[in-house]
Amino acid sequence: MPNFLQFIEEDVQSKKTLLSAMPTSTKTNKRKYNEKIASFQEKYEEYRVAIKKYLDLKSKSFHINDTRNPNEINEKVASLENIKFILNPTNGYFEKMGFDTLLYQMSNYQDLKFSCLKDIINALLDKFDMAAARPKKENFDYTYYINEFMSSFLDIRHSGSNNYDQLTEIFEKIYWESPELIKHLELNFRKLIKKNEKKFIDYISKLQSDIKVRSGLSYESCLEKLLVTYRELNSLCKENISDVICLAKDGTIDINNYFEDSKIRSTTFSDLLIDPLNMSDEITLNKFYDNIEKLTSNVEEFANYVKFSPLIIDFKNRYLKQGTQDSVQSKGRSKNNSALKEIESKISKAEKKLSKLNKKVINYKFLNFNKKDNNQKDTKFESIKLANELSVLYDTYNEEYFKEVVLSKVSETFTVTDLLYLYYSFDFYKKTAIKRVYEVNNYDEIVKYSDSFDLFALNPTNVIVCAAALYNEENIARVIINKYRLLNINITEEDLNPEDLNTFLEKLKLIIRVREIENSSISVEKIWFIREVNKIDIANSAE
Amino acid sequence: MKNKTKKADFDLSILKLSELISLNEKVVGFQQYLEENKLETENKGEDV
Repeated sequence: MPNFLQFIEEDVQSKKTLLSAMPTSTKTNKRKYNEKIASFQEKYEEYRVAIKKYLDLKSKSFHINDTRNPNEINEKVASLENIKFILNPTNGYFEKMGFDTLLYQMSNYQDLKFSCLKDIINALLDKFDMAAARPKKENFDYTYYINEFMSSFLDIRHSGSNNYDQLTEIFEKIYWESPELIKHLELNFRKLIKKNEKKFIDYISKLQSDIKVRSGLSYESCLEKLLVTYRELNSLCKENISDVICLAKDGTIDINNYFEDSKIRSTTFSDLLIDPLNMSDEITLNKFYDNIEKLTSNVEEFANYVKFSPLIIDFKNRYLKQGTQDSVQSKGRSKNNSALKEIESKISKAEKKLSKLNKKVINYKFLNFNKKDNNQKDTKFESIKLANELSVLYDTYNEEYFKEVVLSKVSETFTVTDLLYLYYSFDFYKKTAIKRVYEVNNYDEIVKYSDSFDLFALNPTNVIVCAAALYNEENIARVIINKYRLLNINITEEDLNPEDLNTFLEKLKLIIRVREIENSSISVEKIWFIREVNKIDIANSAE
Repeated sequence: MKNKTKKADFDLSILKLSELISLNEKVVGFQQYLEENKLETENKGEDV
């Protein structure tokens, strides 16, 4: 008895023969011919629908649902990260309040729309409110224009209307007279933050005490708990059989490479072994798989290191001069300290002068003095000039400030991890370095790099960079190669070339996925079937 | 033949996975063939 496939094969053949034998010269013949075709189409559409229904049911029956739920553990991580952020001993109130991130955004206003600027200003003002340091209109006195802008802003903010349309008009008018308005606003906020330093310090101090009491954790115990939690999260979120099925289903991986007789599969295995392995010996095979998993983790860490090595090199060049590190540390620290104080003093003097200057202009708004407009104009111009000089002073101050932080941390045992953590703790400088090193001018791209950097920096399962005292790439590659060659795993320098890392990682992942499939209830053939049915679905939706 | 094919018609469970996919391809392939081989007819004119 023929099966349905055989039946269809024969039926198609006989129908094609029948159609080819039918006359089609006359109109009637053509009509009959088309009627025959229509009847065949109707029948085959019934077949197609029934077959598709069966394929769908069969495909669904093979699926392995992903029952993992990382929500709880993700919340635990987020909570611990928040505690770590507040208790971080590396940075101060400026970073803990989030001022660094907001002021970085403001200093890159050219990439932002006005509505973003409004959000940044409101976020800054919220932080002042949190520390009971609410600024008044007269505190925004960097220039006449800042005062005009922020007076309107504060009126709208305090009215609760959230309608900033009128402010857009004021901004447009002021901007042409003072194009550096936003830069001056940034400096005004910096001045106010400095002025209210004690309130912010007290606020953070109280927050830290509350967090310690509520969580029962210190900074060190928080780090220990994070390490454990991240390990749990990594283990939970590791690629499992449901992931492999999804990757195969949507064509991200080619499941044909996973069949036992696939040449790609067999050469991937054989290429990675120095001496051949007895694949039937379960213990040896499992050891091999375990080593490949560890190697994958190391190579992923190495790939991140390679990605961020321009930042590391930049840091070395800027802050650690060869051969003079010790002298920079001992003399540099005190030298830098006095340089920082000198700039602080210059800024303070200049800001006092600016404040006095602006009082003349700003107070005219409230007093109806009959002064000549020219005097006001000159004063306004003078204040903008001074504000611009302050902008340069602040740029120098910001550089010196970070230099001082670095010099206080750097030592002979300063590792890559220490550097990662330093940049993680100082968002403003990390983003400034990213922009400089990667020549990125788009704010969203800077944030992408920054988030990716933080993930790398925060990963407590890093092992290579913890010990690497600012090694270069070749040394780390050699360390990995040598370690795994001892375990019969064949890696070459070419495999760990930065350009070839992704290819090498895909080879390693193939092996891990083979293991995953073998340990599961599904076969390669069934996964292949799921993929084929999905392709049919895609073709049907395209029609 | 009809009775025999009726039994074979819906017993897809005896087919291997690769045969099931092949079956779908053949059915869809024949549908495309039928569509491509439809003849155009003119409404007007004599039956010649």
